[in-house]
Amino acid sequence: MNKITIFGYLKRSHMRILPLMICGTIFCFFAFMYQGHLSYLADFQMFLLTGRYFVEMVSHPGGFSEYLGEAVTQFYVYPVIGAAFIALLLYSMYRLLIIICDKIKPQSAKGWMPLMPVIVYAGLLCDENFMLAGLCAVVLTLSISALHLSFAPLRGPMAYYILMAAIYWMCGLTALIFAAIVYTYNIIRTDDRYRVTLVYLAGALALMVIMPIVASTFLQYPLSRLAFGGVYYNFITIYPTVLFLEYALIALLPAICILSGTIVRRGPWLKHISILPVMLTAVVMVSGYVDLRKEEVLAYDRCIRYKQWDKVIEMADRRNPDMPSTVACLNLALARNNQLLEKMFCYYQNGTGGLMPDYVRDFTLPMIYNEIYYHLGFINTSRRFAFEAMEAIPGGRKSVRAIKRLAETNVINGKYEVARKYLTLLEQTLFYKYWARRMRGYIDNEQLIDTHPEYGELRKIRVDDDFLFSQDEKDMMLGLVYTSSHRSRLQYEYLQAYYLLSKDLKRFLACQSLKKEFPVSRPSRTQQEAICMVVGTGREELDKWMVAGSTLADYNSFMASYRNFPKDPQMLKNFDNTYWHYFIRE
Amino acid sequence: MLMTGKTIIISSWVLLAVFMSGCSEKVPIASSEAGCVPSLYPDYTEVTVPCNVAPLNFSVDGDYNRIFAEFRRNESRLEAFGKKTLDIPIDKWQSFMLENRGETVDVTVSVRVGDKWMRYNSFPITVDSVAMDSHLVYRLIAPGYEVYSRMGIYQRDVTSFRETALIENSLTPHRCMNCHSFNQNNPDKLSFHIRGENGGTYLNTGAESSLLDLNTDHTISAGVYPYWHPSGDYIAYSVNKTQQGFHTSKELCVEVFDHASDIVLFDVNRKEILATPLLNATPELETFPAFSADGKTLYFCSSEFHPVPNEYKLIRYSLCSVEFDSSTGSFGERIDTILNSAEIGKSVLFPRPSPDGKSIMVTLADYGTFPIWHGEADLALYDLQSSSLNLMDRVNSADTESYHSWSSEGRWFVFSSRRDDGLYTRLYLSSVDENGVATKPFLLPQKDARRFYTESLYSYNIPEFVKGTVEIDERDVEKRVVEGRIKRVGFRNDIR
Repeated sequence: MNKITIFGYLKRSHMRILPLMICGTIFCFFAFMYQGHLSYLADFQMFLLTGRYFVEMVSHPGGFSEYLGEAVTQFYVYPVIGAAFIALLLYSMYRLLIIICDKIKPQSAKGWMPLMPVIVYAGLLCDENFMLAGLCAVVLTLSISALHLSFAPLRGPMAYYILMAAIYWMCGLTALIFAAIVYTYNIIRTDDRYRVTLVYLAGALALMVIMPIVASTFLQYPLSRLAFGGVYYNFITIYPTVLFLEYALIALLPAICILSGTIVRRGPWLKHISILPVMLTAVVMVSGYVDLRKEEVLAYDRCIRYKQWDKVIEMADRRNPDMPSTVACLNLALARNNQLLEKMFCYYQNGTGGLMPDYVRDFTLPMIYNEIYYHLGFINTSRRFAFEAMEAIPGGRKSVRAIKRLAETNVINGKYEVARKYLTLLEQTLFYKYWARRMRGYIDNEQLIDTHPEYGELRKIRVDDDFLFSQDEKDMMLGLVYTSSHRSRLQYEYLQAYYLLSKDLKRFLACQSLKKEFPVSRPSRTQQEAICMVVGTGREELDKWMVAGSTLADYNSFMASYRNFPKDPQMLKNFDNTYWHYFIRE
Repeated sequence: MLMTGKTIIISSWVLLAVFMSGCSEKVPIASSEAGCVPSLYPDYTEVTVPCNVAPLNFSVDGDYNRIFAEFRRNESRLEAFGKKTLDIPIDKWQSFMLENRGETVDVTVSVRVGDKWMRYNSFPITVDSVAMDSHLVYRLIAPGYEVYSRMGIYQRDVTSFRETALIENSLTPHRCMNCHSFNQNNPDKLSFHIRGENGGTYLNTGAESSLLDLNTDHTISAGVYPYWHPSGDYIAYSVNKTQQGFHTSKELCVEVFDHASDIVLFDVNRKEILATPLLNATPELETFPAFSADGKTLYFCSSEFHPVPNEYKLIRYSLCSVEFDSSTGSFGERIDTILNSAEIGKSVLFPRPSPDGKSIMVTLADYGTFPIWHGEADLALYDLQSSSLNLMDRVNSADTESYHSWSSEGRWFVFSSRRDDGLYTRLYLSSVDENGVATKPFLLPQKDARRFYTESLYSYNIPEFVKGTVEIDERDVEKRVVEGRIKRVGFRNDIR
């Protein structure tokens, strides 16, 4: 009896439960599988809680939706909250579509079709270049449309044109969604189709041509940008076709629902067929827009940003990183745990580029790489990478993460006035204001900085000698920096690792005798493996270098196998966690 | 519950009373004296300002909830209030300044802490009777390294706070714009570069505008640093092959050096690049051309070549000159060294001859060609009559002073400085009297200077005075760039 009741309830209410389940799934996906993406998006904007920032944002078409988008995106710093907002916005979009369809023609929104735009937008948001502002613009436009249809006094042409202009200014292109909805409503409910078409369709299109032209007289943007309105895609000169298709789908959804309702009446079984395009869309969006490889990079970045070194190593243990950026993050994490020389060849290594990567003109990678140079004491280089990453963000947005790093590096370098400036900006944000206030205490307070576990240590090991940073001579720079203090185990391990990765064993061996102001016992397993390759197998010599007998035995075994079966994959596999394997690999 | 008529009337009176009290805030009566001159931001104490400057709104260091200032000379008075920053009514300010031109006014500042007013000692401000040019044109750009995001060239009406964009790179995305230049402070004759795809040099001669590709097969680059000949018939350009380096020590940041550089002349009417062997294809590095006010001399900076980056610290520029005949477009046969870098131990950069032809303002740095990243860079004035070089101690600071530009009357000048925070370049104004003595510089006024300069993430770059409003048809520029309507220029190297 009980089972029958639940089944009956599900049968009656599945169209209420299903959207919630889909939004729940979307929430779980973003909250637990896409944290890197959300964190990354929160980092690459700086939402200020000031009236001036609001005015600055809303002073161009689409600015209000951008403002809302940024306001919500700042919560991505906590991915679970960010994911909840995404799910909530998508569910709101669904409910608004249902309300609008019902207003136009009661009971027309039956079936699966209203879920299609939700699934498409969820898929688009998996691509970090699709900004949340676009979804906010849609939800805002649908809300205004629903209100417009609900209140009879608002339905006159004058109110329509005013709302159309207001939506254009707040949201941009989505004003056409409003136009399409109102047109559909009027065409269904009137006999004077000629007048409705002229007033509601031709009028709207004329308005959408006039408004960008008017805006272009006082705003310096290309006309195409003004016609599009808000920044819904990160690269402002690119207007993705899929976004236009999504907006067209939303705009035409009431008409599609009415049309499909007419078809369904001819054969009720047809209702269930509408699941097919929805499912197909879901498959296309997931396969086309979910990028777990990129998520891996961003997850590594998130971990090194928050100094979760053990988590990085756990991730690497689950799946061996094989991209330069992820390898570089792993090597930093290993070094921070004093395990670089012990374990680095247990993982894939791609040469010196995976240790101290070169600068690339981009906004993502330099931000990741700034962390490496920061921990190595190359404070100016870290500052440069963070600054350049911020300046490379499309659309001229600033980055809260970059500003934070600029404040830190300037405090470490004793440039207090400019640090104060960055802290003032951070004090106007929601999630960094308390950090910035605490940080103010360090301004002009040399003693406090010197005793800070991170800043004080970085001051001790930072580069004080002046030379021009050279991408091609990183080992020379590391050597200079290390020999000026002999304090940093991290710099020492990086220097050793650099020579190992560049297969410069002569310098690697010379580096062994460098003075060290930190406890060092026997050379690490990797170092021993490299030493064997340089000094040979003479026991006396190896004892001098403290090479263990087991390492020597393994080396002899490796050499024997290598001589006999130099190209045997099985032989290589047996030694794939050794430096010897890396050394012979082409 | 609905409001009764009585309630509405009472509320209206209360609101009106509040409004009226706000309109006529009374001069505060101080209950205490600070006994010292206030520490202002920007520091406007004892400055000399042109009579047409925008209101000198300022704030005082310390905590308070209201500020009041009285500007007074004899019976002439101006009173202004503000919350944290003084908000001087612009119309009253302008008439007060005109009334007091050539005079010294006393400024008395009071601040309210809690509900008590405290008065500071008065300080003087001198209102110079000579007005400066009405507008400044500058580029705003983040003080970055190689990447640039949002930037633009803007004009500021220095008699008010109005700033308008001449051209922003939001119009032509991903492109850089730089080196705007005017002929003799004339807003109608200008040029600037747009870098990137389909970029070029935008030239407006007053009669026509064009987008030109100044890069020829015979020059090492397109035009870089420009300077108009007073006749408007020529623009001298440096052509530079430039590289950047990045310092590792905390004191230094960026180094910019030239692998090669020359000076060429652009014939505005014939649209031709003219090259003379005297300044072109020589082993020396020539840069920063500038014509004298009478147009008969071309000044420029020249350094012995040293391989870079290895020997970048050995590169020091001397100030040189060569005669120029604008009627034939030809140069003299001899280059004179006016300021020898080896003798003064400095690199001489950005020569800017004064409009009266008596002096040249230069930037001095320890070495190199790009002083904005040199904290030791200072301004100096070279007196052409006495052949003496004098550091402008009154305007220099412990940090960078770099680019400078004369106002057309030859008394006022603007210069860029990093004295505020060591990174973000700000504009300072000062004047030079007949004896070459400079007045105390003051920061370009803003409506709320503290907030504005603290929150701005842009540096002021290449400030140039102009005598009026600059008009650029930005949509025309956009169209030319987008459509690639760029005109290649000719090249001639047969000039003397």
